[in-house]
Parts: sequence; C-alpha cells; structure tokens
Amino acid sequence: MKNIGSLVRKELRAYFSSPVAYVVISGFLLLVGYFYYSLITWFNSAAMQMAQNPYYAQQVNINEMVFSPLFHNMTILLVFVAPLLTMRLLAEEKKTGTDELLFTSPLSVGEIVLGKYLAALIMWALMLGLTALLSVFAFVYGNPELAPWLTGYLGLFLLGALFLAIGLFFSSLTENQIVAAFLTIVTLFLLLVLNWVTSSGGGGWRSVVSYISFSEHFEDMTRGIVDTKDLVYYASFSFFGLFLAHSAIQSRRWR
Amino acid sequence: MDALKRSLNTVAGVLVAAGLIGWIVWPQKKAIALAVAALGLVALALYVYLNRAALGPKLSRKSLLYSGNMILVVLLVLAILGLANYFLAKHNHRWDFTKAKVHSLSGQSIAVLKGLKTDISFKCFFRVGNYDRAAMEDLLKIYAYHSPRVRYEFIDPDKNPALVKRYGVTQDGTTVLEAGNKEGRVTTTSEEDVTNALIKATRAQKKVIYFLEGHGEGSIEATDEGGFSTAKAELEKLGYEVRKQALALADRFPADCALLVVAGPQKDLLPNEYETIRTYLRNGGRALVLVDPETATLLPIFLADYGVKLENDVVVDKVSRLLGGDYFIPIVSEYDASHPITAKFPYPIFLPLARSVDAAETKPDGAALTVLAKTSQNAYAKIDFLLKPKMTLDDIAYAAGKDRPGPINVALAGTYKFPAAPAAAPEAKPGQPAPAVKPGGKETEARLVVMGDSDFAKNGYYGMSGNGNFFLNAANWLTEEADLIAIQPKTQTPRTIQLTPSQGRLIFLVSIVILPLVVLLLGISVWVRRRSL
Repeated sequence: MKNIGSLVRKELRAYFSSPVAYVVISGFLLLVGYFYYSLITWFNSAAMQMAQNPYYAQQVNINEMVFSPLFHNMTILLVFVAPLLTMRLLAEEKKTGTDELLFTSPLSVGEIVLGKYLAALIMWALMLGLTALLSVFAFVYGNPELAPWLTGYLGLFLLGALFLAIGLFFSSLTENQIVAAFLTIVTLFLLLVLNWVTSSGGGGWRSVVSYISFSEHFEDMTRGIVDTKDLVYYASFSFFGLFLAHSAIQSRRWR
Repeated sequence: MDALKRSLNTVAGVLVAAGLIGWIVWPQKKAIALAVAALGLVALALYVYLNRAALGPKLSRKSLLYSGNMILVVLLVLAILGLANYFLAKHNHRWDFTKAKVHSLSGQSIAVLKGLKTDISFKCFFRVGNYDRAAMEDLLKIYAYHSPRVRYEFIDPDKNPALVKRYGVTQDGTTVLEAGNKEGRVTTTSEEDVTNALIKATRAQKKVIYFLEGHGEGSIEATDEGGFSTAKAELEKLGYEVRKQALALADRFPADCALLVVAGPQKDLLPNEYETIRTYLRNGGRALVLVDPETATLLPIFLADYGVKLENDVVVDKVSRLLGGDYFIPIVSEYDASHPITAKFPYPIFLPLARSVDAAETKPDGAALTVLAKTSQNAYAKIDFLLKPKMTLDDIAYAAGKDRPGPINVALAGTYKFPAAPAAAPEAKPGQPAPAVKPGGKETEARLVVMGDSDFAKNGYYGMSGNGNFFLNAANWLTEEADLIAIQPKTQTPRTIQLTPSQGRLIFLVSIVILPLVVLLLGISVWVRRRSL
C-alpha cells in the first residue's frame, strides 16, 4: 500500500510538473463552462416561458434540463480527455526505457498498474471537482435538487474510472503515446455509440450490445437513479481494463 | 513447390475468410460458403503437415505456451465477469433519489406487479420519431424491474404492417398488453392507465353478467333470431361470464353479480322481483334494462323511481328506415359525445320496434342522467299505439297534437349515488333476503342503462352496424369496477432559476473566462519556472 502511495505521488508530480495537465484541465474547463453557460441561459428563458402555462410550470426542472444534458456532454468530452490522462502512463516508461527500472523495482506489476491508475483517477476527480464549482451558481440563484446532481457526478466519476482503465490498457500495449491515445479514443467512442444499432427492435444480441454500451448505464444516473446493475457494470469493466493492462505487462517478461 | 508450401497458410487464411464473408453476405448460399471455408481448413492442415519440421520448435517455445496460457486466463476472467454481470443485472436493486420519486412507481402499481400470476408482454407500437416512445420505455423499464414477468418490446408500425394488422392497431403510440389469452391496450404513457390495463388483463376472477329470465325474455342459449347467444358469446370474449338468473323463485340474489341484464321481458315482473332489483341497485348494483314497446306495465313505474320516463309509444321512422325493412326500425346515429358509452361511437344502430326513453323532469337525489342516443328529426313517437297484424300507412301516420315529434330519445344512462346505508338490514321483505350491505357503510353508486328496445341485441340484429358494439359499450361501462386504481400524478416542485443580466454575465465570466484562465496561468507559471531551472 505504501508502495502504491509513493507511486501515486510520483505520477501526480509528473502530471503537474509539465504544462500538459494544466492545458488539458483548462481546455476541459473551458468547454464544460461553455456548455454550462449556454444551457443555463437557454433554460433561464425557457423556464420563464414554461412558467406561463400551469401545465408546464410544474415540469420546469433545472436538473433534467441543464444538468442532465451537461453531464451527457461531459461524457463526450471525457472520450477525448481520458486518453490524454492515460496515454503517457505506461507508454512513456517503455519509450524512455525506464520500464526496466520500474519492473525490477520491489513493486509488483499489480501495484504499478494500480498506482498509475489511481494517479489518473485523482486527476479526473480533481477535474470534476473544478467543474462542480460552476454548479454553485445554480444552487445560489436557483433551487436544483441536490441528490440527482450528486448521482450525476457519481456517474461521471465511475464512467471516468472505466475510461481510464481502458486507456491504461492501451498505454501498456505500445510505446507510442499517440497510438495509445488514438486506440483509446476509437474504442471509447465506439462503446459510447454502440447502442445506436439497437434503437429499433429487440432480440438477444441487441440486448447484449446495448448492455455493453456505456450510455445505457449512464442515462439513469443523470436523473437521480442509482442501479446496482450499473455499478456492477462499471466495476467489472474497470477491473477488466486493469486486468488486461496487468496481463499485457506480464507478457513482456517472456516475449 | 517450396513457394506453395510456404504460402499455403495465406491461401488457407484467404479461403476461410472468404467462406465466412460469403456466409454473412449470402446466407442463402450457405453450402458454398461452408465448402470454401472447409477447403481453407484443409489447406491449413496441409500447411502444418508440410511445414512440421520448421514449425516444430516454434510451437514448443515457451512464449507460445505462456501466451496461450494468458489468453485462456483472460477468456476465463471475461467469462466470469460476463456471468456475474448477467446474474447481477437480473437481480438488481435501484434507488430513486429524486424527492418526488418521479422515476418510481406508486405503491399501488408495485402491489399489482408483485401479485402478477401470469407473464405479461407489452407490445408497444411506436413510430421511431414518436416523442412518447422514450417516456413509455422509461415507464416499462420500471415495470420490468419490479416484476420478472413483465416483458416489453417496441415495434415500429411502419416496418411491421403484419403485426399492426394482427393486433388491430390503428393509432401510433398504442401499447397492447398480452396476459395469456387476454389482452388490454393503452394509448397513453401514464402509469395509471398502464396499471389499470394490467389489472383488467390479469384479473383472475371473471365478472359475471346475469340475464334475468322467467318473463319471456330471449334466452342466452337460444341461437335463433330471438335469442341472445351472440351477445353472450361476445361478452365471454371480453372476459365476462354470462349466466341466467330467475329471481321469482331464487331465495338469494347472486352476490357476484356484476351486471343484471333485463332483456326485454314480455310479462311483468313480480313485485318482489322489483323489490330485489331495487335493493340490488341500492347497494351499488348495475343494471341494463331493455324495454320493448307494449310490455311490462309495471316496469315504467319501477324505472320512474330512477328518473326514467317511459311512455307507452312506438318510434316510427318513415325516412331513415332500414332498407327493405318497415317503418318501425328507426336508425339512431346521434349520440351524446360526453358519455363514455357513446363518446366517439362512430356507427349507427338499428332498433327494431323501439319505444322512447326519456329523462324525467324530476330526478331522484344523487342521480345523474344522460340521454345517450336519439333518432333523427324525421322520426316520431306514436303515443298509445297498438301494434296490429296488418297496418296501413294511415295507421302509422303522424297525428299532430297527440304524437311526439322527433328527435326521439331511445337510450339513457344514469348513475345514482346513495348515502351510506344504515348498518341494519335494508328494506328487504321477509323471505326475500337482500344482498348484504357492504361493510364500512360507504356511499354506493348504482349504474343503470335503459334502452327502448331489446331486439337490437338479439341474434337477428346483433351484427347489424353498430348494434353489438353499442351493447358491449354499455355493458363495459356498467361493469366498470371501483377497484380500478386511481394514481395521483406526481407533483413536483418547479426546479428553476431566475437570473438577472448581471448574474448571467457573472456566470459567463467565471465559467468561460476566469476558471480556465486561472488553471492555464498556473500551467504557464510552472512551465516558466521549470524553464528557468
């Protein structure tokens, strides 16, 4: 555990000592801020119109009309942000040859994978925390419901955990960061839109495909619903990503 | 020869791939595709055999062993995770954290779902662009969560015309629920409607409809023109049970009676029978009374207590009469659009030998009467008219001052609210036990439909135009049960925000300018500091 802690610290230092992390975070904040601002100004005028009609007045809901779409937009951003956080983690070690050093250190492969993963996860949590600052305005000037907002952030965090695990796996495959990032983006994007093919009709394979798709498991969380099914999905997918990364590193020993 | 030996694996790969592609693209030519793939496998085997000397050391290498081992482990982990997901997805638990529980079902609905004894399949006919589709899917998802017996599928009516025809779907957004051989349908996405449809479709106990007998009424068993066997069969199709009941000799009124049909008695009922029916209605009973002209002298007096006015008359319709029929078959096509029985009722009905049914000027307390149907202007009611074997046009001519001009009302529906009955036995006569008063002393509501004709529902006329539908509509409205649930729509507090222009500008500045800029400046300062190191 101590080993993991020192590795996490080392990785976090690496993030913050290069300008890359700052650029990524500030770009992410800029885009989220833009989405947030445009959604909330649109909602501000739409809510006023809806308030005129007693039937619609009751359905005015900032959680469903601002935060839910905002969280969805953030998942799209995450497809591009997560690879930026993970691409370096293992690929760079291989490129610069420091992996020999790392793998001969007293750290086990599992600890290395976990340490690097946790560092990326902390970065992601930090980015989410910064975007959460924006919501303060909504809570000060309006009356959003707290619980769906929290479950939405929980969903974003878990989705990020999953994306980072997949990104870490691709980073373990190659020594080229661009290749790692691109493979991650393609995979994540494909899994995000996988349920498009299932929009019509039912049937066995369709339900499997839509189960694998991320969006199926994210939708409910943005609306205040937490389902054990979705938690299991996130946990198992993240675990599988880390397990694959672990196996890929292990395989270097005999290749 | 050597070149062929070495490239045989490529050939094998191409053949197998071609076979697979052929299988997917032209599934009807499966045999050819399989043959090509088999040829590829043979080529592969040949390659391995011819190159066994060169392959031998490679195959036994340690790394291959390890790789194979690892692939196995990965597959095993994948299988375990897949199984765990499969199992846990079926045994999930969900929490709705919204305050108004907008994504949860009401307690009533959940109770209904938990009590399901049969599998329910929802067939939702929604066009792809239908706005309500997502709402319905969200709703049914929660239904399926609460009961493993619930299945649902969405069908695009444009792409499945055969299914649309089979289920008789005429409206986009119709959901058909099947429970065994029963079915129900909903055209809204409200929880209340879906749950009520569910209750109706899965009700184990059939509602029983009793046809009164013993006064020359048409029999529900008779298959001739004057019988009600068609009406009986149609009611049974709707899930009712139909029995006959003689009241004169019965010592007890059937407790399970959902509807009493008095279908055109030719002789008068006995006073105690009237009393029994009166008690039955007093306790929230439902009755459909079909009264032909020139019969049952006491029946008009009995019905007068319920605000129904029956004249001794016959409706004559000289213009819109049935083609080939005589003047005594008025065609009725003007309906009350507000009543559930006749709202959107599109067909005319034919009433062979009908009398007028009107609402009396004075109606009893708690009564609400609706005239359901009336004839056209051309019809008129001949007052105090006696039917004779041979009638001339003069006999049935309109007698000004005596006969009543059209339009003539021929059907009436009424609801009667009775205050809570005293706990003691109600006004039952000795020897004529009344149905027990419902415990709790709740206010009761009786329903009554009176029509001036019984022939329209008999076998001879049942299938004519809208006759059968009208009869079933009336029966359905009458038997509507009080236990169908009413679910309050969920009230949510509006969750909104009111921004002044300066607050809007503050949000703009903070979210798009200040926050990203602060992080960026931090990065630049780190970069500058590290450069100067």
